[in-house]
Amino acid sequence: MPPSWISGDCVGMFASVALRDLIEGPERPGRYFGTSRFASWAAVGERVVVVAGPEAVRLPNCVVVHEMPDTRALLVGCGAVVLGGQRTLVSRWWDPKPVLAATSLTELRRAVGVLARHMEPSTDDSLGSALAGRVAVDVIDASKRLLGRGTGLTPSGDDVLSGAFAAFLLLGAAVDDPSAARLIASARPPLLRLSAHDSTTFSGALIGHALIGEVALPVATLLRALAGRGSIQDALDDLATVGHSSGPALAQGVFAGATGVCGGRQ
Amino acid sequence: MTTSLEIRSGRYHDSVRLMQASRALLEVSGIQDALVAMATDLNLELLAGMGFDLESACGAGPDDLLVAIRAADPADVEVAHRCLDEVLSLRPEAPARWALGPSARTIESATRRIEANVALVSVPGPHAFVEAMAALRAGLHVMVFSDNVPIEQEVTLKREAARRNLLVMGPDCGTTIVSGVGLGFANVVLPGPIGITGASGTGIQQLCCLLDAADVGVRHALGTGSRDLSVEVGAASTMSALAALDAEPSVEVILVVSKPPAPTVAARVREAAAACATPVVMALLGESGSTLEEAAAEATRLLERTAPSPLSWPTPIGRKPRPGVLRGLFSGGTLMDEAAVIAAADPDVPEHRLVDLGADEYTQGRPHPMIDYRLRLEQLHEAADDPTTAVILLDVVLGHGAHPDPASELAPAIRETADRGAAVVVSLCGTRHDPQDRDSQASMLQRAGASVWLSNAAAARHAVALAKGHES
Repeated sequence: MPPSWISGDCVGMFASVALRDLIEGPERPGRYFGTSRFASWAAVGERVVVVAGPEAVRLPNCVVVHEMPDTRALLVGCGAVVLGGQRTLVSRWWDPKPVLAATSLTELRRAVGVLARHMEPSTDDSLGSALAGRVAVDVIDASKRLLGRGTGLTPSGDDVLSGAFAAFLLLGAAVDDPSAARLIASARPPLLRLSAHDSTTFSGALIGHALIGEVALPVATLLRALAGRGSIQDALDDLATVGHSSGPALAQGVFAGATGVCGGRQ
Repeated sequence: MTTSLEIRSGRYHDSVRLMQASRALLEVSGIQDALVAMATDLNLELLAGMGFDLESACGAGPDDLLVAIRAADPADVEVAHRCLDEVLSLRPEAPARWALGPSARTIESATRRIEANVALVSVPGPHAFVEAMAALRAGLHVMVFSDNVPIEQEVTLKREAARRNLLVMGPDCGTTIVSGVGLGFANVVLPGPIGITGASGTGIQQLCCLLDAADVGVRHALGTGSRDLSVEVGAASTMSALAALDAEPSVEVILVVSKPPAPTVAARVREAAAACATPVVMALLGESGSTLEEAAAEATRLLERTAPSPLSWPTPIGRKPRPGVLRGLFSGGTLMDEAAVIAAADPDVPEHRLVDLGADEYTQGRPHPMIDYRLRLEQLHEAADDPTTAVILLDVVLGHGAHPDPASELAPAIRETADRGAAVVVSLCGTRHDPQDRDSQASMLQRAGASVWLSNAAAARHAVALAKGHES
């Protein structure tokens, strides 16, 4: 028989660095609480880990495996993820927090104008206005009106919030506006408490990631495009295919976050 | 004793698969020697050197597969042939969406099917130019893993790439990491603020490992090929890679590493580095005696972080070291160059003899010593037999593409060497997440009697001290 390493038995996965502390920490069991054709999601302590197949959207809290395991046993820690008894090591890490190219407010306004031309107009711009005002309580009030609203694993209102918070934080840094990071830092603790109470576990976890700038890959691509790297329309088209309603809702959120950075003067 | 030499006409397999096949046959019980290779002039010469009678290979050419086996018993040869068929019929498991439809036959058709922007060319050197040029014309950046590509072809490729605003990584590019995706020999790194461009595969790997130990991640590490900083090539790819890394917003510090460069070319690279908006740390070996360890520490400091002392797994010295010859058996050329600079700088070292077993003359027709430790083990035994040998310095490179468990191969030989009175020092190039488990590899080597260092420079300094009869 040929030695086992020739046949490619060495199992590897791609992992988000957002999960690094969990993967490198002590081994802990995971409890699955949902599954779809392309991914399963599990609670590991207070956190949520998504085990995704190659076709799934790359979420900020996911590990990507070649094949979804048949069994539901999951252990995370000691440098690996154990899926159905198979110890899986990280063969590639990726960073869900995009570093955007520096841009100017003028350029960003121009990019947001392009984004607006390719999107359905929104009837409610209260979140974008609240972010533009840079007042934390207004942002929290606007968020309460969206949190948990809509159907599905990630209600549309939550998707809007995730897109908006990440866009506001990251595009704010790209135009060198420190007030954006300050606003998110002060709104973050109450928003985390609210999302834990008023939304689904899965969706609440994604809002938590967005509040520190960690996003799904298609959202990162759209944010890069808004900062001048890549086609806005192509990125928007890709994002539109995410989930049943998540993609368009995330795009609405990105628009709200970006207009918030621009001061709402679109 | 029986020998078998079979020619399989018109059968082609890639060189990596054939190296794996040769290795698999040697693991079959009773097999003393084996070579599975295309019947090139070089491989026929190698076969003659192994003592095979070439009469039955008469007329075989580069399109034919050679299967040469020497065994104690004819039955063993039969088992080996069955094993070979099994290895050659293995197909890597592909995710379902890639398994649909027949494979693409040309770079152009592959490019039309998927949204690739990089091609990896790993074919015998004489064929690499054509494939790399086809990839450039299809609009792809190219990594040329192949060596033995004429330098004038390298110059042509890099001119074409510049014209198309593309990057050629190579030829003879062993390591590249793009957004965490390793091509060739590559370590598992965390994404971070460092960008590396390197005319040195093991130089890139050593920097990645030292930075990883300081908890500093690497965004991209772009290999440029071992001759890029030669007069002929004029750092064409290094300049392009430097510009690309400078334009990448997530890169906060750039490292440039190279084997000893041509001085005029090094000066031009320094000028380009000075013009970058991103801080650049130069690690050009042979210049002012700086080491890769110092370069990694400087990059860490530029990020306003503390650079810790690189890890080591020392072995308590049981007896006073005997002074004598420092022997070095390397698989990485840059690691050898760095050790040679350190040894040469100390006039009190009685003698140092360092060899790069990854150099072309040792790898023709056989696996690279990072994959296959046979040649190194032979040389290790030979060095240990020499009573003038005081210390043997080895590099052990981990990561994707490298041997899956090098310590298990080396440990018995290290134990034997230590018993004969020579010290063994290992420069271990690996990160925390490498599939071989760096720390357990280090422990295994240490238990066998070697002192193990994450920094190649530190390993070389330790070996120099031992060669002088000092305890450290």
